Amino acid sequence: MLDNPPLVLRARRVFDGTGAPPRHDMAVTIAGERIAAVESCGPDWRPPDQAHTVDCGDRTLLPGLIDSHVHLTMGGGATTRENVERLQREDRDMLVLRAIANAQAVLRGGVTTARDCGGRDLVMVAVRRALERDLFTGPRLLVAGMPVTPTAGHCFWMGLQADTTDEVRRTVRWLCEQDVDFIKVMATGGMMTPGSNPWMAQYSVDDLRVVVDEAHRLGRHVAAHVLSSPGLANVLAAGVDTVEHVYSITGARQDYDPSLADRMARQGLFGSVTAHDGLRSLLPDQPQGDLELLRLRLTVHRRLREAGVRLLLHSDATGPPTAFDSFGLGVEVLVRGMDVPLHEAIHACTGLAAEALGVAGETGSIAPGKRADLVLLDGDPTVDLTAMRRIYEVFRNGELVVQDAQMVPVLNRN
Amino acid sequence: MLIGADGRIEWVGTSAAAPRPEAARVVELGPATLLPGLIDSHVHLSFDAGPDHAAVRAVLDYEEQHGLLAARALSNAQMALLSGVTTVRDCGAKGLVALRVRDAIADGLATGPRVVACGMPITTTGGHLHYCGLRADSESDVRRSVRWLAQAGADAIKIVSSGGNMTAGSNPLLPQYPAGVLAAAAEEAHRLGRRIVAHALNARSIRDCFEAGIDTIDHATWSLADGSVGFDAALGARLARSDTTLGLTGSGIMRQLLTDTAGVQELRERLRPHRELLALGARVVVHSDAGVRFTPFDQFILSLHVMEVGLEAARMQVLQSATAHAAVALGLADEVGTLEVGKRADVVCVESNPLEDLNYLRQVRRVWRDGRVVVEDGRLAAPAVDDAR
Repeated sequence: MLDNPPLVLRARRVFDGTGAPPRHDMAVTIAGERIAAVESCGPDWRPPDQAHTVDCGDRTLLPGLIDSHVHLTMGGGATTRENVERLQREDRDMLVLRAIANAQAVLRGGVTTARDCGGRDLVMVAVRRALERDLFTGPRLLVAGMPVTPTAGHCFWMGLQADTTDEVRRTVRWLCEQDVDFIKVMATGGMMTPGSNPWMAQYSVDDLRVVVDEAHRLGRHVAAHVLSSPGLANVLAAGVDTVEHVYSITGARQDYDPSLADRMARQGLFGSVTAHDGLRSLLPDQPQGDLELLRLRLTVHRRLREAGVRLLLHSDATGPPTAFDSFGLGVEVLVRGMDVPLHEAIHACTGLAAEALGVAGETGSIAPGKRADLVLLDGDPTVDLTAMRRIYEVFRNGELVVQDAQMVPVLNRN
Repeated sequence: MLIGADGRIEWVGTSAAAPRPEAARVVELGPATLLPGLIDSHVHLSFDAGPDHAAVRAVLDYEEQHGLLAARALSNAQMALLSGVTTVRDCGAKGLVALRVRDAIADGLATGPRVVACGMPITTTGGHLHYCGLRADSESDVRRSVRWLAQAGADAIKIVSSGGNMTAGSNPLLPQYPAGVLAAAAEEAHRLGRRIVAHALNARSIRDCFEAGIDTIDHATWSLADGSVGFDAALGARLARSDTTLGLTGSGIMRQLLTDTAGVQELRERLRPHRELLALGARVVVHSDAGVRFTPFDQFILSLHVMEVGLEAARMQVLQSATAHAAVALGLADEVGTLEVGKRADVVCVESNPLEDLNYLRQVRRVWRDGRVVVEDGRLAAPAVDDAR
């Protein structure tokens, strides 16, 4: 790559991923794997020597998107129930192939960094290793391996259960030994595991503190699954890094507690909004579209934002109905359902997410020195928000990896 | 060529005479050449084509242990597809990984070639490819192994009838199994509707495989006890009259012999049995053995050169070997291998006529599998199953 001449993308609109409104008439220079320069194209602007300049026309340039919560080993069934059953049935090699297929679908959807919040056994560690060895083209992967959960707890069927404080400590250490990138802990029960009770905490504050202390000691951040106030109270006391879901968006009960929201904002914990199919399908132009219901479902998340909580965006994709290749719909969900300005919604899945995931030095914004992870949208989302679904090109590490929804593989690199 | 909605060829002929159904989309290809998708009838998807036998085996063990083999095998299969190979037969992988790759491609999860998978090769304890995981020593073990592979979903059976160079300690110059055991394997495979392909290097193993009713005898280097190349014209004549396929291995070490005149001379000496067999009218099918040392998956064209040069074969003979004849050998003659009405539309489009120079096969512009574009200008199409809403 380094031998190639620099590539300059000249774009009419650039969201730089910092949360700022779009910048206009910009030139972004890619040299090798990284962004070399970001500059305004005034009348005197000349491309650098020997650079190959591409005029992006009316397309819009974004940082590669970051989906901070996916489950790549899942999918293949018609329903979530079937996906869960399949996950338990398929062998390691099949799950690796499924995860690769899903990772590539994620990439086609404009996501250049995906955080896998739990898969079966250690399949996702293998998949990340395969990616590192260039055995397939995919997004940057941060993997949790299996979530830490108690017996009968949410996602126990992924393969790991830890009940006592000692077990929890050993489990976190073991996961780190197995080379996971972060720790996912299930602080409450969840919808995908009937009987696990989303409305109560699964772990005490003491157990969660052990998770956080061990993970931080070993250089890993902690993502906590939370669907209700008892779990939120515990993870706030323990000091996890990202709070996934925070509250249910399924229309089931929401025990919103304003004092917890204030505390979350004060502590600077990231909350992450789940824009899965249950919300995407309520977007006004969808067959089941219902904007009023969409806004109702996001009531507490709107209040979290008003309380000053920093919100990320994720898909929680597990395969249809929540498809892996449609992450952009989530940005529309935030804008339409929560009145989040477009540049802030993009920030929630670019610069802010990179900060939360500890990869801000590498990706998440269009700035010199960052990896050239970029997305070119076909259209102008400030005029037509549905441009967020039209991913024209994707660059990862300076390499064109998706064009017109097709993968662009690099030959002979093994 | 008219391709139906079912991905099969409905009509082939001159443009002027072509039927033009109203719903048909016309693709104008200009002065390009279409040919059937190539068939590489002997590859090892789970091997990494490293620099020597020991390295390939070490990587295989490491990647199996760390769960990387499925990714390796899929990547290899996709490399083959990008070079115009639309069908591969995996003649032995570690574990069942080739079956999983086959299923992922067939289910539309991944874009790749049609994979005919043998699963693990049947070999003796300590025998060639024993590290793939399936060892069977007695006749009853071999029968059970064939049954087990069929039950696990193998499309064909691979049996290792002689030792191999890749496995130190196995003896390539002598048979691993008595003829009776090979016959039992063939009988079980055929009873269960599977073809059986054998690895056979020495003259005795080749004879035993033939007598046992093995469908394809691969490599067939016809080594004598002293390591020299022998050829038995009487057996050759019987092979030529039979339905047995002889595999010609155009692997990396054979490809390297193409580079100078001394090498070409050696190549022709080594391939004397195959040249004699071809002259006698036997079905000689060229394969790459991709995955073994020096043999990457996107260089099948070099294997075709090995046949062209080593056997002094006509280019049309070489192309037929890697398409129509290979399809017969794999039992897929009704499905692929020619561009005829009723066949699956597995088609390669190249810029220029490969009958003038086989190197033109390198300029793959487009590849269709089952009528669907799977490769275009070096890009791999997204899988057929689109999970988008």
